[in-house]
Formats: sequence, C-alpha cells, structure tokens
Amino acid sequence: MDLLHNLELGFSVALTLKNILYCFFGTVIGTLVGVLPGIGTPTTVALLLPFTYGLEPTTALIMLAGIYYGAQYGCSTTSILINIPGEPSGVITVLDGYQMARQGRAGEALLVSALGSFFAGCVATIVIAAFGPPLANVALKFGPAEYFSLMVLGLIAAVVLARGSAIKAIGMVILGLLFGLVGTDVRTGEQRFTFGWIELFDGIDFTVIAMGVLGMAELISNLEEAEEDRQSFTKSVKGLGIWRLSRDDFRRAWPASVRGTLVGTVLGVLPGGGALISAFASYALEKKIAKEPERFGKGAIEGVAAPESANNAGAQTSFIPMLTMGIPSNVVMALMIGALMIHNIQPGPQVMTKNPDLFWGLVASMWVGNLMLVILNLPLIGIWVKLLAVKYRLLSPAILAVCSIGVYTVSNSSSAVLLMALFGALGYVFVKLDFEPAPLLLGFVLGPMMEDNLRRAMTISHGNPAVFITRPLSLALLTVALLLLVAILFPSIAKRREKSF
Amino acid sequence: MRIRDERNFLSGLVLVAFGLGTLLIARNYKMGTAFRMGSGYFPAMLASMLIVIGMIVACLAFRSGEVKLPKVAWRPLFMVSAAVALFGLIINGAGLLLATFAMVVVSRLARPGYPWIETVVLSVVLSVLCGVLFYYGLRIQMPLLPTWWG
Repeated sequence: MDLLHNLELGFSVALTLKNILYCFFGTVIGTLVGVLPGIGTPTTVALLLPFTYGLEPTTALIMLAGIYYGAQYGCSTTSILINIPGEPSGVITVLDGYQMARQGRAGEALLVSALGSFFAGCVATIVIAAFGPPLANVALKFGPAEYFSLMVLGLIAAVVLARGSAIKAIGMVILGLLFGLVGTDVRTGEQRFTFGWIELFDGIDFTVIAMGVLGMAELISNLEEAEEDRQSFTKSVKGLGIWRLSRDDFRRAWPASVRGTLVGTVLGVLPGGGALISAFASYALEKKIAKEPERFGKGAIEGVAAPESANNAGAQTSFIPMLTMGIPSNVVMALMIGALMIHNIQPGPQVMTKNPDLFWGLVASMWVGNLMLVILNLPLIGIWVKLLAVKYRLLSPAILAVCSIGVYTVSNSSSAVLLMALFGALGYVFVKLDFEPAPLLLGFVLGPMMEDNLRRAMTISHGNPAVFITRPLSLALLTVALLLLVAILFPSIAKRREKSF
Repeated sequence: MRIRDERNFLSGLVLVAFGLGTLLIARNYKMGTAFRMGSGYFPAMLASMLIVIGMIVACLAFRSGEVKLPKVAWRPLFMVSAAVALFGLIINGAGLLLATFAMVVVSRLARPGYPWIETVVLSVVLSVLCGVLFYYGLRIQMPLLPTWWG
C-alpha cells in the first residue's frame, strides 16, 4: 500500500523528539495568537520566519503550520467570549458563538468548537494524504476564468450570509474590493488610491482594516451601551460547567460538524479558499438546511460547530495547492513558500517526489498537532472563561492596546495605527447605518486576486467576455452565483430571509 | 414622496459618495482595453456598480417603513479614535510604555464617571504588561522607552 507506506514515512519524521517539540511550540504560539485579537497569524508566521533559518526545512514547516491551524483553534475562543474574531476566519463563529455566551452557554460553545476542530483536523489530514496528489490535478484544470467565477460565487455567498439588506451587503462587497485595490497595481506598476502616502504603496494590510471595522467599531458600540448589559452576561458565564454537553446539543452539533468538515476540506483546496471562505460557506449551508433557520444568529450550536470545523479543515487542506502546485491560496501559504525558498526548495509538484519526507512529515505532524491542541485546549478553556470575569471597562483598554501594538508590528509603521483609527471610525459609521462588515472584508481580501484573474482571462480570450460562459466549469460557478443572487433579491424569499436573521 | 427610511437613504448616499470619490481619484488612471486592461479599468467598473447600488438603496428608502436617523455616540467615537491615533502618533518617540499609558488614559474618557485612581492603576498595569509580553516576550521591534532625548 502506497498510502500506508507514505504515512509510515511521515510519522517516522513527525515523531522525532525535535519535530514533536517544534510542533508543540507552533501550536501553543498559534493558539495564543489566535486568542489575542490584533496579532494575526500572518504577522506571527512572518515574525517567526527568521528564527526558522537555522532549522531543517521540515521542522521549520511543521512549526509554521502548527501556528496556522493552532490559531484556528484559538480564534474561536475570542470570537465566542468577547465578540471579536481573533482571526478573520472567526468572523462567522462570532454570530452564534457570542450569542451562546450571552445565554450562559460559552462552555458548550467552546467545547463544541474544540471537538469539531479536532475532528476536522483528523479528517483533513487523511484527505491531504489520500487525495492530495489527485486533487491537485483537479485544481490544475482551473484557468483564470474559472478563478474569477469562483470568486464571484464566493462573494455572492458572502452576501447571502450578511444580515439585513442584501443590496447593502453587495455595496459592502464592492467597497471592499475597491479598498483591496489600494496600492501598487501589479500589472502596470502604477500607484492607485495611495495619495502619495508611501505606507499605502503595498496596499492596506488586512489586519488594519479588520481590526478597524470589526474590533474598534465594536468597542465603540459597546462603550455606548449601558454597562450592566455586559456585566450580567459575564456573571451568567461564571460558575458554568464546561464539560456538560446535553444530548440535544450533541445531536445537533455532530452532523453540523461533519458537514462543516466536508465543506472546509473541499473549499480549502481551491485557490483563494482556506479557512475564511470555508467558515462562510459552511455557515450558509447550515442555515439553508436547518429546519428552523431563525435560530441562527441567536445562539444556534450548529452555527458554531460547522464553521469551526470548516475553518480548521480549510486551513489544513489549503496546504494542498501550496505543496503540490506552489500556488499560495492565502497570505500564510505565501509565507510558507517563502520559508521553502529560504531552504532552496522550489515549491511545486516535484516536492512530493524530491522531498517526500517533507511532504509526508508535514502531513503526519498535522495530526500530531491536532491531538496536542485538543489535549491542551480543553483544560485551558477554564482559563479563557476566567478572563471574562474581568469587567469590560477594564478589558476594553487592553483590547485597544493589543490591537494597536499588533497593527504596528504588521508593517512596523505608526501610520498603520493611524489608518486603523480611521477604519475604526468608518466601521462605527457602518454599524450605525446597518452595514455588515463581513462582506467588506471578504471583498477586500479578494480584490487584487479578482482583478488579476479578470485581466488574465480577458487577455487569453482576446478581450471577449464570453470566455466566462463558454468554459463549462466557469459557467457552472456563475450559474450557481446567479441563482443565489436571484433567490436573495426575490421579494418573497427576501422577506423570509429578513425574518430568519 | 418623502424619505421614509432616513437611515437607508443616508446609507445609499454614502455608497454613491464612495463611488463618485473613486471615479474622481481614478480619473487619470489608464483605462486600457478589455484585452489589455489598464490600472483604471477595474476600479471604474466597481465604482460605477457602487453608484448604481447606492442609488437603488437610496430610492428604496422612499417606499419602506419609517426609520429615523440613528443617534451617534460622539464621545466614545471620538475618544477611542483619538486614543488609537495618539498611540500611532507618539509610539516612535514616546516608546511602548508611555504610548500605551497615554492611550489607555484617553480611551477611559470615552465614558464619564470612571474613578481616576482606577484609570491610573489600569494604565500603569497595562503598560507594564504590554512591555513584558510584547517587548521582552515576543521581541516586537519598537522602542520601549522614550527616545525624545536621544
């Protein structure tokens, strides 16, 4: 058996003392980073990259990978407990996780997300091992037209997810795309929307915009509310059994977790995919198939189990395009490629044949790391819950400090902090006008990629836009997007949707 | 005809304003052709879509339920933004400890009636914690102490 032989090789690499140790470091740092809002995974991976120069490439990659999926575990904690996603992919968990916490069910939410993440991690590891090579072949068939259509679908899905007005959510997506274009145009080298500000030449950092429109805006709104609101909620969380998961909760959570894992596994492989889109899509799916969709957004346990499983599965399977094709599906993967290059390993299909110990060692280490995370995190939930006993008026300056310092470190420039202040104020305006921030952020991430693929597709087709509907895969993706759009804009469905949020 | 949903009317105007602003800034960017798109092609496309959508949102405000303009909490908005901006402005000169201290003090002004002693204690504790965690722990590249005097 090829697979068994390969896994055996993988575990023989992953289970050396040194690799276990670095895997442990990576997952612990990742969890911490995931918990702390303002210090993103990309920042941490970038910060630690210099320290991996001295390590063997496999060990370095094992540790960096641990940070990435460890952060997916950690971010659920912050999303659930303080309503701020520690990582972008936690945006979805916030919706129901925080509501559960408000109802005094923070313990259940955390337990479900930890177990769901572990399950997803195990499945994703097996998938990478078994389907990595053939899946890469599928992704290879994607041309720029397909990528573009896929992103359109992803963005429409984000609109479906937004609360309230669908048309306003579309507005936010487009605005996000525009913000994403700020900086140097990669094709022509021209500066766009930079106002001659050198700090903007590389574009706006995701952390800056996310911390501004999510973190700061939320903080300002919270300060506006009466304080008792917040305190009564923390009281109800205190003294709560963490290990209790009622039969009803379990019955609801496990199928959602399985579906989330499947969605995440598939979407993680697609370029442009990964943890974020997986979480979005799985939540949309859960709400679609739920018998009582109106429970979502009000503390439905499925709304925590599915996206938390999906983001972990997606985080892991997003390694597939990176390892097999050398294509980064997100910023962290781009940094991983950087780490490989440092060690003179050219990412691409040849990695699997030339450095089998690296590929399979990394895969095996993911399972080891996931096991460590669940063992490590379940007891630690108690510590996170204790953090909540801190009054919000003491916590809010701390959040602000961590956000500001984190944003500063991203670019090592104080202008990033000023920019965050600006986006914070803008985010507050959005809150007041009932605009959802999530579509804005997704648009922001996809902006440059979308433009690039649009250009490439149009150049290949000699300027004929029909390319998007003559290629079958692209047509299929666009059709689904169109159907979704019609469904949400059609008045009668829209009315039902309004109620369900 | 009168504006019934004031909030959505304003929302529409905001979107239109962003669209127009984009077109204005991007007016000199090269459009290119569909075959070889210039740097202005995609932004112009998006901005036009944004204007159309903003207009639809604003128009729908004439025939929906009554919604008044939301109340803005100016004090938290101003103080929190000011606190963060202050941090950004002084961090390079004042160092991590002092900048964090100043930020915490200003952010506490977001709500009236906090006891002063709590503000001072909290500011000191947070500054020290941040110093230990980020400067010594994560070794983040920023000055710890003021560099104003060399």
